[in-house]
Amino acid sequence: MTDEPNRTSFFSPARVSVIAGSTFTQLVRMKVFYLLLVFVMLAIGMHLLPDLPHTSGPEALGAEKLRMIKSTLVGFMKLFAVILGIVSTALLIPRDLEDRTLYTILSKPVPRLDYLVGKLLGVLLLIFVGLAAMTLLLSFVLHYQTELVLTERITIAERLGWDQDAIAAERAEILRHGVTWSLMAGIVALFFEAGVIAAVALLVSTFSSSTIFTVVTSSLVYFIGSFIADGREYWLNQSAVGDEVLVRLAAQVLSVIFPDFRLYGITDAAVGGDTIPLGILAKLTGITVMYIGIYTVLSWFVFADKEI
Amino acid sequence: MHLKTTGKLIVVLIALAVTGLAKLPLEQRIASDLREARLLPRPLDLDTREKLGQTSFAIVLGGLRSLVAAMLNLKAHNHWEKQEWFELEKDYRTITTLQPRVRYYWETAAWHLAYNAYADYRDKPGVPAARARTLQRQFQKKGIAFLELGTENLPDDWRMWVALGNLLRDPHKERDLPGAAAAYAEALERDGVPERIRRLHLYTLAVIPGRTEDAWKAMQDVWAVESNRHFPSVRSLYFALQHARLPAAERLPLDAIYPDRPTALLDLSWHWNRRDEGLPMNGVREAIESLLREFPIPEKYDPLGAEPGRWGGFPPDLLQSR
Repeated sequence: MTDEPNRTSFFSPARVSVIAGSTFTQLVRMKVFYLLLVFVMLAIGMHLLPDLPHTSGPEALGAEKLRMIKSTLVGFMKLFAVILGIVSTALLIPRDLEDRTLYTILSKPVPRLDYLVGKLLGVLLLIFVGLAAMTLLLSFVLHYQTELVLTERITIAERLGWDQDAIAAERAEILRHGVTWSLMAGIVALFFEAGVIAAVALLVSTFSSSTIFTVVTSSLVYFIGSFIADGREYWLNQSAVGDEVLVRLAAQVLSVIFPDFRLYGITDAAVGGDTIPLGILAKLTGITVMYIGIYTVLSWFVFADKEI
Repeated sequence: MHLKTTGKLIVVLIALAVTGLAKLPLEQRIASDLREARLLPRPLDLDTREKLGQTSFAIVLGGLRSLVAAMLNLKAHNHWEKQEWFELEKDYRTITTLQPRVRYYWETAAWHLAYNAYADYRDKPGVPAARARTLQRQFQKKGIAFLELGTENLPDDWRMWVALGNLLRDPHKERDLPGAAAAYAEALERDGVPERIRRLHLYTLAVIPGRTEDAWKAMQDVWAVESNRHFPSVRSLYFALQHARLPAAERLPLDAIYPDRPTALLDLSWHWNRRDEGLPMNGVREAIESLLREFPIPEKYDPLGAEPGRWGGFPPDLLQSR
């Protein structure tokens, strides 16, 4: 025995991982992964989707079928990630208060920062696992369809007597819309976006004990953050007179406070078949860590000495 | 307690503003990188917002532009089936605003308007002939405008330029051959362009009056690629263009252009048959006359006696048997 009192470290990854694990389990028990069944059905439905009855016309028709599959399935993934990011984070603190888990945790030597970070990581883990499962299925469906489209289009091209370089160009065009690293980068960006909005929801939920308030406020932040940067650029390019000065100022203030979700639009570009450079993904990773860091520290600031 | 919460809220807002000022340059730098890589979604104008309606606009705001565009494409497909061309055009304006980097939408819009709507107005019941003709021209121009906008949004995509070139040189419509040649020339500046586009560029230049010199220059590039020399049109154009541009001493002899003399007679005869298309015919008639002396054929197969576009070719094995 020693006289020295037990000291709790300011931040412990081990504690955080335990809380994250239990949060993940808590959310899984809410039957969140049933959504994967919807995704599977959607994927099968997309697989059975008939071709648009074009008899001739744009040569990029084969790629359109692949894009349709991608846009629908990635669209679902985005809804899954963003809605889950907001709703599950909004539920966490009120649910812990309601079933008194929060008191049990905080009565132990667990700093509130660990609690918040653990909760956030639990949500992110849930989104990550969900997205990973969906990505696997998407890759399988897309790869299978790409092979079908490729065979069909190359057969047509050969029947039409295209030369080898034209056939090679057609093949490259179709493969660009299959499973690519850029598509994976787009999905990673989607995960980042969900992470940022989850961190925003965490911040809002430290103020409010109402789940509905947190969900609505976070959703508003998401929508405002998706277009406010465009507004800022528009107002910056206008000559401001009279009332417009106020509008311009308001746009500036809002764009300073809200995260710029427009940057995560690369997911859409990846679905469209564009190439995502690694450098851009790296910068996006940097700003995502920055956003999440800011909102988590502010959440801690609010929650640190909050009476519960 | 209430004051404490309000106080914290104010502190949080101030902190967000301060950190926001720090993050702003980073956001702007990333946005600028994205814009440079053409990955940044373009802001929607009021017109597009109105057309989208509230629900779709909300979905678009949520970053699901590709999904909304795919759904609108299906809607446009219904307009096609009902031949509602003006509605179809509106749909594609919205679709291409949502997904300006997707070539398929530009091509499909142009295809529907410049080919399908154009064909539909050729014999649309209840539309007077003069009105139908005006509408045909209108829809052709709309199709061209879509492809021109497509090339502005996808300037590095050779297929976009080729689609524009193909529409401008369509023989069934009012043609803009210099425009088509310029579009093919743009395509040739891009990476990955197949060799057939070089030939298309040549064929287009060859039929533009007063552009023989440009056609001859284009021919040098085409002729430099061995595989192009297997195409009868290329060989015969080479023959005619060198007669137009080079003194006799510098011209390649017939045997260096064609694999054998019967093939030369056949290819040149087909070339002669296309004389109403504006192709150069320099030296072709004389060469055919000379070859016909080597390979006498019945008069009914004589390519020189047939009207343009009416010659039916030689019977199989006629030349080989001689």
